Amino acid sequence: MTTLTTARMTGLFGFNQEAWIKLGLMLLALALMLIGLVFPLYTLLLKSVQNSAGEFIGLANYRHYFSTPSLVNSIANSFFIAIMTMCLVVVLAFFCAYGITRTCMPGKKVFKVLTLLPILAPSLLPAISLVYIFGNQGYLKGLLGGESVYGPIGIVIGMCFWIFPHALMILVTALSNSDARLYEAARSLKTPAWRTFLTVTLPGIRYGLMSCAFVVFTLAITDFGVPKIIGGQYNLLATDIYKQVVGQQNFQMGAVVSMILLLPAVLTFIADRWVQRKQTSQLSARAVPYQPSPSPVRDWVFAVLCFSVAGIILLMIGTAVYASLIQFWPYNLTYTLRHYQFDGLGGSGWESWFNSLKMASGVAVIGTLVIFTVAWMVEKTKEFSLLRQWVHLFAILPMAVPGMVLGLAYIFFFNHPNNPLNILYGTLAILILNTLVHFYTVCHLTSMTALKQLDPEFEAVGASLKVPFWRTYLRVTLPTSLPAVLDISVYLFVNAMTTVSAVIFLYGPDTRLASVAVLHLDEAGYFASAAAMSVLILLTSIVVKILHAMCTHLILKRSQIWRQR
Amino acid sequence: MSFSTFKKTTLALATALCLSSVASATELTVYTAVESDDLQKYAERFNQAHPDISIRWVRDSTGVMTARLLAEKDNPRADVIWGLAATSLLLLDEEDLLEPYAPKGVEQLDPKFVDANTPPAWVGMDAWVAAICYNTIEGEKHGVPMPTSWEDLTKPEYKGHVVMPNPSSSGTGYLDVSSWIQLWGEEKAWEFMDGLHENISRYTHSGSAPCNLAGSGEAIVGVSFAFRAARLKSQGAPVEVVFPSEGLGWDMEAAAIVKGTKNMEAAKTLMDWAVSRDANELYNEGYAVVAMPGVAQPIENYPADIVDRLIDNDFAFSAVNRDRILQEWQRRYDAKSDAK
Amino acid sequence: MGDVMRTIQQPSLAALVGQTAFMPDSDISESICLEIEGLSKSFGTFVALNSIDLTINEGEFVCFLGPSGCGKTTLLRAIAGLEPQSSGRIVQMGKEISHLPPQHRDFGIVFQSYALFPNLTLADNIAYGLRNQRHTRKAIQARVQELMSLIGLEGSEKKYPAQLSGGQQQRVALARALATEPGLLLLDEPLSALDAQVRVHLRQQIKALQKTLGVTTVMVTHDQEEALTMADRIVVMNHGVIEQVGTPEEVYRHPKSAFVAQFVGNMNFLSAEVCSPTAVMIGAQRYTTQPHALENKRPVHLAIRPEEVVLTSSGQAESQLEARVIHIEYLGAFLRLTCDVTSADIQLRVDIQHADAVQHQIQLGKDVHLALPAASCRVFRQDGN
Repeated sequence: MTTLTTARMTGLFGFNQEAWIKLGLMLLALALMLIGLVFPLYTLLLKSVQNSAGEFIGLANYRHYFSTPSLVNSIANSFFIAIMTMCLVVVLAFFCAYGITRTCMPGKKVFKVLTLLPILAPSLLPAISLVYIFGNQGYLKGLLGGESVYGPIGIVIGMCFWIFPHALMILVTALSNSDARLYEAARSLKTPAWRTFLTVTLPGIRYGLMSCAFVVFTLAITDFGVPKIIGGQYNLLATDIYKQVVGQQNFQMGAVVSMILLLPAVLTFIADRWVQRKQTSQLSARAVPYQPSPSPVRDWVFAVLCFSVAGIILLMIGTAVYASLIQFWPYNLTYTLRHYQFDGLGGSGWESWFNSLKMASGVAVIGTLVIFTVAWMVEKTKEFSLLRQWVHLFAILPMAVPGMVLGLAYIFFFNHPNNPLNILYGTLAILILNTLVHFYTVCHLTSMTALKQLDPEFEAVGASLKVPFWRTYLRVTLPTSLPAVLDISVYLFVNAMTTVSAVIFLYGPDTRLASVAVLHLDEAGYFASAAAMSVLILLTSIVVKILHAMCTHLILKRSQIWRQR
Repeated sequence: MSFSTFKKTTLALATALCLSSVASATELTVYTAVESDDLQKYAERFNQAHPDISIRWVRDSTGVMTARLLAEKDNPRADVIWGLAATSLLLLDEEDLLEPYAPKGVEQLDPKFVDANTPPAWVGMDAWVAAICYNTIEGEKHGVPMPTSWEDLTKPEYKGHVVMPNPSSSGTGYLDVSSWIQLWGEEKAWEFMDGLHENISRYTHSGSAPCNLAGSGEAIVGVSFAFRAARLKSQGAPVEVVFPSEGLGWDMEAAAIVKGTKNMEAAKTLMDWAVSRDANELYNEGYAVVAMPGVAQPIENYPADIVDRLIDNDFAFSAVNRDRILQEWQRRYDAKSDAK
Repeated sequence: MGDVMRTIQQPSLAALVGQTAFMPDSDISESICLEIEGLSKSFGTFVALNSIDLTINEGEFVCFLGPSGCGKTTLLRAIAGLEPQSSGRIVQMGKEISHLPPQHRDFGIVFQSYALFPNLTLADNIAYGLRNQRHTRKAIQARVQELMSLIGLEGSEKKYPAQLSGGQQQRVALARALATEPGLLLLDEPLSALDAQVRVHLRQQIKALQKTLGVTTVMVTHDQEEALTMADRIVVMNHGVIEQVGTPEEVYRHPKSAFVAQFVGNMNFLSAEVCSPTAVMIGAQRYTTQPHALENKRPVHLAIRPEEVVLTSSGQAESQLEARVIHIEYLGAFLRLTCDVTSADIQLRVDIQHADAVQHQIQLGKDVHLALPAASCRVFRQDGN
């Protein structure tokens, strides 16, 4: 009797306990996306068509924006900077990636490690260093030939520094994914090297190059840290948002600039997704990886080039470290640690560093769990396909949303007096949520890739053996994906440590972060302490990165028996 | 970890312990634009008198704090404002954001330093005064003479060497602009600023940054305020503090209770202390002019006659015209960007 | 490589059919294990399964055979509850399971990819489903031991799947599926990922194991040889419908449709026209065939397997052809001749033994006489049925 009822119940709804739990989890994920991304962005859009009293005024704000030359100028400025940065970074990264993948240049490993460093530092660090290198008292000021570093020159150099590693990674991947047999075929057909380059190498990486260009462009047009510090009077969209909101508390105009900044970011994002799709189908599974053969002249040319780049990276970081240890640049060059005593310089001193640690750890732990679990639900669940598609779309979307825009959207949404969630405003929780959403996409895609590599039938086997799905997740899926999970957590940690764009709007009196402190110290003119704080962030990231490398090494060693294929 | 952090942690722990045993202890969220160097000192002095109230500081530049208070109008998050420009408080009062309260002993203050309404919506603390920082080493190197007046700054030899705060975000920046207008009248003041703009290399977010920039040689002349200039000079920076001959713009730092606070008693206690003699002595450690007559002692690197050199500041004018002046300023100079 | 293997083993096909046909099926009880009624499944506009009706008896070994995309895997997954049907009913042991999720159904499953958990030892893999059933640790250990020896891997409990060969891994997957003693064993192309020799070996093992345990088994395969050698009954599928259900012999000897005839084994198709219920005309020549129900004058196919064509020495009148050998394929145990029929524009493949080749002095260009025995001549409509 009871079984009959149960059968009819499940028959009617096609549901059972496990399906209910899955549905619950999916709805939670959807709620996270809606609260963390969609609703705030919608509120932002609304604000851009309202006046300060909250009445709908159509496109009046936009009309005002486009009739204010000082604001409209920023669009051209932003594009100019982004395109300049794109050209420089893509060319440089291409040569370096070529050196790594296609030559036998010495010191590849060292070079690769060195190029990682900029990722571990906040984007404010290169800007601060540039002041010491090329500022009015800079030790290499002469190189600029009288041009001021405060403006486009400084912005572009600073951006190149921290965006370079991102571009390099994409191009190294693209250049590694080539089929050696194509080169053998070209050689057997007696093709000259330049023609092989034009007909084999370039077409082979064209999607990688395009994707790289898009990523660099997006990072450059949305970056806030570098132009904030070294931009001088050169206005960009990202700094305009800050100025409108923090400087003038003109939220409506801030929303308008945000919408305008959102546009190129979304368009590049769509183009990039399109290119990515093309790229995956390009390489056959049977390709043989290319192995370069030594050629002394070429190898040394590339070694010199690559290590010049590495030298510049070290120079920038070294300058920041030096600046943080100097008594009073440029008049008193004795060494001191006093700039690391942040107390009494505004900010919250070391507390902000502890806050950053707390926030980054929170994001790393919670974010990894949430993102990987959601990715697993999306990839491995069979039910609720429509729901899964929506969650997947929302998971990919954050990449298109610049940090400044997301941060501002959060103010509007979470500080609304009628929103019960406004108790979160100014707390660590909102910083964690914001950072998690801000860096969601890359982690989601990494999780999906790792999950796709697992046998698609694990879940079916588990179900056939009547093991609840969560147990299979915990006993099999999670352990087998551990390296990817660690990658995600360290990515989240480092980004949470270094990010400044979104959180600049969201910190509260008790939750000021180290990266925000850098900005404030710089604003107040404590340049040495600003450098000290960025060095501190860099060191923290380095330590975590080393711990991560050791963990991964240990895990791989322990699981070597079952991981070898 | 520095020793003071350790001390602070211990203090925090102790406070936490107290909190658990004594339920009466309260935490006040205080918005301020007081120089960050001094925040800790302010809180400690206050706590010597009232250990049961802890202060949670939220600090930013004057413009930012003002804007933040305006933005939070519907959902105020501050209990007390302690150390914000009087012009800003006038503005906030106009928006009905302040809770009028006459602190105990307010009658001992110079009436100029107290809001004219009864009970007053705000009470003054001290005056902070415009000043110029001049880097002597770089000035000599580049052949840029030390300025003596505001007018000097429009001379061609200063081109690209002057830094000043952006009046939209910085209280110091705004008091400069407003004082020039009060000194010379709108037309001449804008003419002066047009000329000054030609020589400006950068508008900064905060009022102390220009002085710091001059101190580190990034600029030669920084339009800033006396407190920061004097402090920097005592720290050994190669700067000379210049008080321009035409007169000094100034603004008053003031305190008020934010309407809607849930900690009214504690807020009143803080206000009472903020007008006390102890407090005025504390203000005098950084500022030459304070609200309580007879307290002020001359301080290092300030001229003795500073009070006489202050312009006759019309706060009401500054407050009422703030929006209009700032918009005009932005229209004229915010677009400087690519004029280079 | 795979194709070569298959062709080399071609002659054994017919022989295998014979073997299985004579296998005693007394141990197959007649009680019904699984009943499928009107099962349909579509993905968007694509119809993967079109109203499938099928009954599977207890203890039976059934193969779903068909080309890729025919719906055989979809049917298996519907039975497992992994791919819910769009409509129709599934009844297992008298209980309707149509809408139950997989974990509430009673089956064990083995996949082509093995789907062994790489981070668990063999023992943990096999015990995976047992641990959930509140057995004592000792009982689980004993059961694991039992299964390990059943699949011939005793002593390897502590090893990880990656340390085993493909065939060994598949045996572990089988043990894992059998561990909980399911009422139904589902095998989804279990041998496809293995190389030819292991495959032949393992299919004997699986079959033997299935006989021993008597567990009702459904196996999906696209390999006719696998189906013919292992199945008690074969379900031939195409385009989402069942073409034929029958014993291997029935399917091979008496294909019900041109599709089955062509898909299982080799078949010559000759265009013809019906001239009586037991004969067709090819050109002017008349051929006696198996009885059929098609009307006169209808264009049809005469179908005959290459090994059923008889090489004769001289010309008797009826059902005979004169042809010329235009190609000889040496296929190991036998020869496959391609012959051009003199009187019509058709070609015929003929499999002959070496002895016959010698006897008839077969060589390129040789004219031969071929007889098409009436019992082997099937008639199919040209539109496929």
